Amino acid sequence: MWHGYFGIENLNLNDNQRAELVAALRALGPASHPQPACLCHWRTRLDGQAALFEALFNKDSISIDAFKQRLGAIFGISWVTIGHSVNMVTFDSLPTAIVTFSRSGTDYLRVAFFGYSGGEDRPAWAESGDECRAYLALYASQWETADA
Amino acid sequence: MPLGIGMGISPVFGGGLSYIQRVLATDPIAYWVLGERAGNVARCQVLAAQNGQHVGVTLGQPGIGDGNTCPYYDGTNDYTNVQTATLAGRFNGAEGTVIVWMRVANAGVWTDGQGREMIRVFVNANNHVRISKAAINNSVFSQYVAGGVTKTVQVANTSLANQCFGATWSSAADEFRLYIDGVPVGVTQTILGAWVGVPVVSVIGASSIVPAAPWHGWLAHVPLWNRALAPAEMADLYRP
Repeated sequence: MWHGYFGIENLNLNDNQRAELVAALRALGPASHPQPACLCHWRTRLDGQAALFEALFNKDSISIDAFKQRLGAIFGISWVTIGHSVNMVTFDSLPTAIVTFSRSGTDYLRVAFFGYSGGEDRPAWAESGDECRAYLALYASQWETADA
Repeated sequence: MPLGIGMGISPVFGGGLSYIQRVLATDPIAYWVLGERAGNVARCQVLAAQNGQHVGVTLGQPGIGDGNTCPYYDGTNDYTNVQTATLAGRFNGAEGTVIVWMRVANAGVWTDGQGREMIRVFVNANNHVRISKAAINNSVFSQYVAGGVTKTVQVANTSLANQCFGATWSSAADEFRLYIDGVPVGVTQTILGAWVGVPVVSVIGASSIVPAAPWHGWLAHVPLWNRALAPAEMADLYRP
C-alpha cells in the first residue's frame, strides 16, 4: 500500500472518456478507513481539466501500466498499444515522474506521481505531499481563484 | 445538556469547566470541536443536524491543550464541510461571531504564497465572512462582506504556536472586528453593509469543497454564534 498523491491532466480525452477515468480513479483506495486521509479524496483544477488525488492506494493501481489499462478500457483497445513518455521534474526535493500517455501520435493524458520516480521505493506520505504542495504553489494561478 | 467529545474529561482550568463547557455556556448556534479520533463525521456539539463531514484530514493530532485532539489539514485537498440546511437556516449574517483555533504546519506556510482558509461562510460574492492566511507573506486577515460592502482586517502574523482567531460582526453596533488570542487586532471596521441571503457554502479548512485555498496545519474548536461576543467573552475563550 502507498499513501501518497498523484495528479492527472486531460490532454485529449473527450468529456465521456474523462468522466469514466475520473470515476475509476475516485473509486481507488479503501472503501472505509478510520482516517479520512486514507480514503480517496481529490481536488479539481479551476478549468476542470486536471485533478489531484490522495489515498492509501494499492501500489499496483498507481503505475504506468495501471493507467494504460484504464485508458485501454476507456478506448476499447488493448492497453499495450498505448505508449508513454516520462519527464522527471523536481518541485521541492524529490523527482516526480510526469508521464504522458499517447496513442497513434496523440497525447491523451498526463499523470504526475508526486515524489515518485519509479522503482520499488515510494516516497513517504509527507514527502509526496511536499512535492504536491510545491507543484500547487508553482501553478497557483491555475488552481486558485483570485480572492483566495 | 448537549453531549460532546471531551465532556468526560476532568476540567483542568479555571471555574471547573472544560473549554467545551465554557463555550457551550455562551450559547453558540453551532460548535465543531473537531476532536474526533476516527471516522468522517465532524460532530456539532449544539445540534446533530449540524454535523459536518471531514474530507481527507488526519484525525487525532495534538490539540490546543484542553485534552482534545484535532485534525491536520494537508494544504492540498483536505477540508471539513459543515454546510447543512439547518446551519443555513440558523446563521445570522447581521450579527455573529466565529472562533477557530489554528496552528500552521511549519514556518514555510507563512511565505508559501498561498491563500489558506481557516473558515468561510459564503452566500455569494457579495455576502460572506472568512478568516484566512493571506497569499502575501506573513499575513492573516478576516473579511466580512455584506450587501457587496467589503470590510477587511489584515495583520502581520508569523506565529508557530496555537492561536485563537475570532471575528465578530454586528450590524446593530456597526462593527466588524478580528481577534487574535482574545485581543482585538487591526482597525475595527465600521459602515458595514446589509447581509442578504443564507449560506450555501460553510467550510472549515478551505474556501470551498473544490477545495480551494486549503489550510496547511491544524484547526480546532470552531464555535459559531448569532451575536457578536463582547470583548470580555472573546478574552475568556482564548483560555483553552
